[in-house]
Amino acid sequence: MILNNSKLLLMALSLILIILLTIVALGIYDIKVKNKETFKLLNEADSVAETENLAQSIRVMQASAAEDITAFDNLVLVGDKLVPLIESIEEVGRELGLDTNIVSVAKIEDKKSVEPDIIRIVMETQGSWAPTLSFLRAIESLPHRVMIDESSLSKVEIGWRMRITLSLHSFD
Amino acid sequence: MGDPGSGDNGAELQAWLLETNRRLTALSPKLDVDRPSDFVDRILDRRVTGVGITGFSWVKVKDKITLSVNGVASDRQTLVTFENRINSSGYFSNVTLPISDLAKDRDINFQIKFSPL
Repeated sequence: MILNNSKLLLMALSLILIILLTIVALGIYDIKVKNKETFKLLNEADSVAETENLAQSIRVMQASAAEDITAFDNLVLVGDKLVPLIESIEEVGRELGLDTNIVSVAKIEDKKSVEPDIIRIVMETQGSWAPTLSFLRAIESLPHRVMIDESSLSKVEIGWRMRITLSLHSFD
Repeated sequence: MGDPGSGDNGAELQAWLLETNRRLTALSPKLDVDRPSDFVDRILDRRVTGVGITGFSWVKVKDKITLSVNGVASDRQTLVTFENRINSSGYFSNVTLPISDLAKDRDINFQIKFSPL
């Protein structure tokens, strides 16, 4: 009888132990899941704070360098500045007394490249030596990054003929 | 790019910063170095009596620049002196005068090719 009672008690205790262990395991799992979520939320909060800090730094920089940024924006060639640029090149040629001809204007796009598009302008002038060289210097001094692919000067019957292939970065 | 203060949220501001950096990189003054007029000046500074220049050429292909000067030299010695002056200027390398240009002894049409240093 005593043996039977002891067996029953042992079985009951074992069952209780198994239930307790299961509860503990579930509790640990729950804590782990919650920890993971907390970690994720903390990371997100850090990231948001970092983004906000960066945004704040950018705003401060924009405010302190507003004039420089405006000046820089004015130097960047975008679509609506192309016609005035071409006209100013022609105007410089006229003022120097040169026959000036814009031979072609083309946009070179490379969708695969991260490089900006290129505006390629081919121009020709004819006139005496000094204005021809002054025109070349004026082109070199344009307020953009000047890339000259080709420049040739040749003596002709009356003065000098010059051909320039000019490339400029365009940001549209 | 427009008004720098227009983008108010973080993503727009970061996009503005990235684009500005891209523009600054592409338009860096350090890269703005194409000056064919300097090449012309340097050649004119080395001209010798008896050499008449009829042409200058600057060609850039994939960042490699090839220069040439054309003209007429009164005689062989004058032409060789002019070539030597270009060669020893310290501004140019690979100065090449085709030997065939020395066939004539008077009023020699020539083309000297070289690269900037």
